[in-house]
Amino acid sequence: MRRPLKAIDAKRSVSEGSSLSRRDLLKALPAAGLAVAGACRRAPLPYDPARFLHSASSDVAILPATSYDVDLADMVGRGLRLLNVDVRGKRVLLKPNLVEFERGRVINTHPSLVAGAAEALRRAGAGRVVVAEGPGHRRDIEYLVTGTGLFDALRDVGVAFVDLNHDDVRRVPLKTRFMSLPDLALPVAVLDADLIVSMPKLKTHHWTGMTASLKNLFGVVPGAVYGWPKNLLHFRGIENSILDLASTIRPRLAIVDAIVGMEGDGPIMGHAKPVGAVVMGDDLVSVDATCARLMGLKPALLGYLRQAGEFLGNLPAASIHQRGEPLSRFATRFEVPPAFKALQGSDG
Amino acid sequence: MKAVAVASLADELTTTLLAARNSDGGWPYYKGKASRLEPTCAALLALGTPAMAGEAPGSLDVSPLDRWQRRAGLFVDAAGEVNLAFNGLAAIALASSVRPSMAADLTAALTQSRGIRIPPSAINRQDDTIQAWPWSEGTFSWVEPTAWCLLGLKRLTRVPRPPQVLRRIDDGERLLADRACRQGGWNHGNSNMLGTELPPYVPPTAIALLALHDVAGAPHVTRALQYLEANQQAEAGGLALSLACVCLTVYSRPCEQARSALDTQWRRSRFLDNLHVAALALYAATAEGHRCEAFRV
Repeated sequence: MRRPLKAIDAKRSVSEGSSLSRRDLLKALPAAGLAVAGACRRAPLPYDPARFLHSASSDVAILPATSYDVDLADMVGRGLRLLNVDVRGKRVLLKPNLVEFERGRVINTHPSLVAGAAEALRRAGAGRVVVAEGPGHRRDIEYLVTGTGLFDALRDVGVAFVDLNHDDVRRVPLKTRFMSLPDLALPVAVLDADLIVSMPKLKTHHWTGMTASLKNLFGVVPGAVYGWPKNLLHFRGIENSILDLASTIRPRLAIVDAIVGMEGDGPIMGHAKPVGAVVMGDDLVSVDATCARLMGLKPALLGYLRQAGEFLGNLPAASIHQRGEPLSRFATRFEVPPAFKALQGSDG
Repeated sequence: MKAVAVASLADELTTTLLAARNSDGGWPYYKGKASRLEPTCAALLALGTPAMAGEAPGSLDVSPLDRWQRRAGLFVDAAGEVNLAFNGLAAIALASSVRPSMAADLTAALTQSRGIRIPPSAINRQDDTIQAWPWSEGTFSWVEPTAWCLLGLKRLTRVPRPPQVLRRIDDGERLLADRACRQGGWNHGNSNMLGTELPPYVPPTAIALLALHDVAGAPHVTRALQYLEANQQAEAGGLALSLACVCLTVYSRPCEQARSALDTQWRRSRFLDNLHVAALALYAATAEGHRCEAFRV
C-alpha cells in the first residue's frame, strides 16, 4: 500500500515536534539516554533527512497466540497478508534475539516462532530463508543454538543458521552519524539479503528501557571484529548504535515474540511476562512504539525510539494503523527497572 | 572404548580442517569464506603440534603468517581491523615457531597496546583505571583479549623480562584479579552489574587461567580452577569444552568429562561447522600427546 511520504524539516531540531518539554525528558530519561539526547540537541542533525523519506502512516498487525504450540507458520502467514508483504523470490534473513541460555528463563526469541516464520516466508514465495544471529553476550554460539532448541527447530524445517559473529564482512558507510563513525564492517549475509526481518523477544532492558525490533539489530555487528559484548557499540553509546544500525541496515519487517515477554531486570535476568501476541510490521519504529504501548510505556520517552521517530518511522499512535487485534486487548503493564519507572503510563 | 572415540574425533577433525584450508594457506571460520587470523592460528597449532611431539621447540610451521598483512607489528584481520585478542593467539603460535623478527615486532606491539582509561564506575565494583588489553584499539579492556595478550606476551618473552613487558604483565594480571567473579572464574568483563553479581563463563575462565598459570597460587586463580573443574561440561558447546580441556590439561587436572562431552557435541552438531572450534577441539582431543605445551607459561 502506497501512502504519502513524510518529509522531515531539516531545520527543525531533534526535540521539536514532541509535546514533551525538555524538563519532562530530563526527569524521565536515565543518565545513559540523557548523554545521547543532550549531545544531539547541541549538534547538527546526524543524518540527511532527505535520505529518510517514509510513509506518513504505517500498518502494525497484532496477532493472538496463546502459546508456542499453536500453528505459528499459519499465524505469521496471516500477518504477512494483512501487511501486504511481498517476499516472492527474495533472499530473506531472519534475525532472532539469541542472547543467553538458562534453562527455564524466557530470554530468547522462541525457536518455534523462528521456525514458523521461516516456514511462512517460504510458503509466501521467498527464494531463500536463513536464520542468522551474532550473540553479543555469549561467544559460544553452538552452546546457545543447541541449548535453546533452535538447532533442532531449524533442522526440522531445513533452514540454515548463519553465525554473524564469524561471517565474512564488508565495510559499509553508515547512513547516519550518531556514533560519529564513518563506517562499520558488517556481515555479508546481512548485506546480501534482500529482506532482513528483525525477530526480537519483547523485553525490558536495564540500559534502554525496552528492547524490541530496533535494539535487536545489535546482533548483526560481528563480534570477531568488534569483540564481545559488542565492545565498540557499548563504547559509542547503545542508543547511538541502535540508530546508526537501524538506519544503515533498514530491515523491512519485524516479527516480535510477545507471546511470552520478559519484565523486570531484562534483557537477561528478568522474569516471564505472558502477553499472548505476536506483533508484526514493516516500519520498525511503529512496531516498537506499539510494543512499548503494549508494555505500558510511553514510546516518546524512550530515547532511541523518540529519535528514530524523528526520521526513520512513525511513532505517534495516530500514525499507526492497527491491523489484526486491537492493542487494548493485550495492553498490560511490564515491571521495569527502577531507572525507567517514569516511562510507565499511557501516551494517549 | 573412550580412547577409540577420541582417536576417531581427532581423525575426523583433522580431515575437516585439511579439507577447508584456503589456497592462501589460512583458514576461515566457515569453509569457503576468507582466511581469518583466529582460525588460522588455531588450526596451525592443532595440526602442527602433534607432529612436534618429541621434536625441538620452535618447529611449528606458521608460514601463512609470513604473508599476513601487518600494521605496526600487529596482524590485521577482516576489513582492515586489528583484533588484539587474536593477536594474542598469534603470539602463542609464533612462540612455538622460529620467526624472531616477527615475534619481536609483535612483542613490541602487544607491549604498547592498551585499553583506554575511563572514569570510575558508578554501576560496577571494579577498577576502571587499569589499562590492560581491549578487543579493538581505542576501547576499554576486557577479560578475553587481556588473557590472550597476557598469555601471548608471557610466551613470547623469557625471564628476565624487560621492565616495559613486566609492567604490561602486571597490568594484565591486575585486571584479571579485579574482574574475577565472586564465585570464582570470569564473565566477559564485569564481575557485577547494577548490584548484581554476574556468573562466570567457561571460555573466558579457561583462557584467563591459562594466562595465570605461573601465579597459580593466587586465591582468585584457585577459586577459578575449582569452578572450571566443577563446570567443565556445563556449557555444551565445542568452544567451551575445548578450552576447558586445554586449561585443565595445563593445570594437570582431570578433564575426561569435558573431553567426552566434546565428542558427543561433535556428533550432534559438528560444532555448527565452525573451523576455529574444530581446531581447538582437535588440539584438545590430542592433548595427551603434546600436553598443551603451546599454552604453558
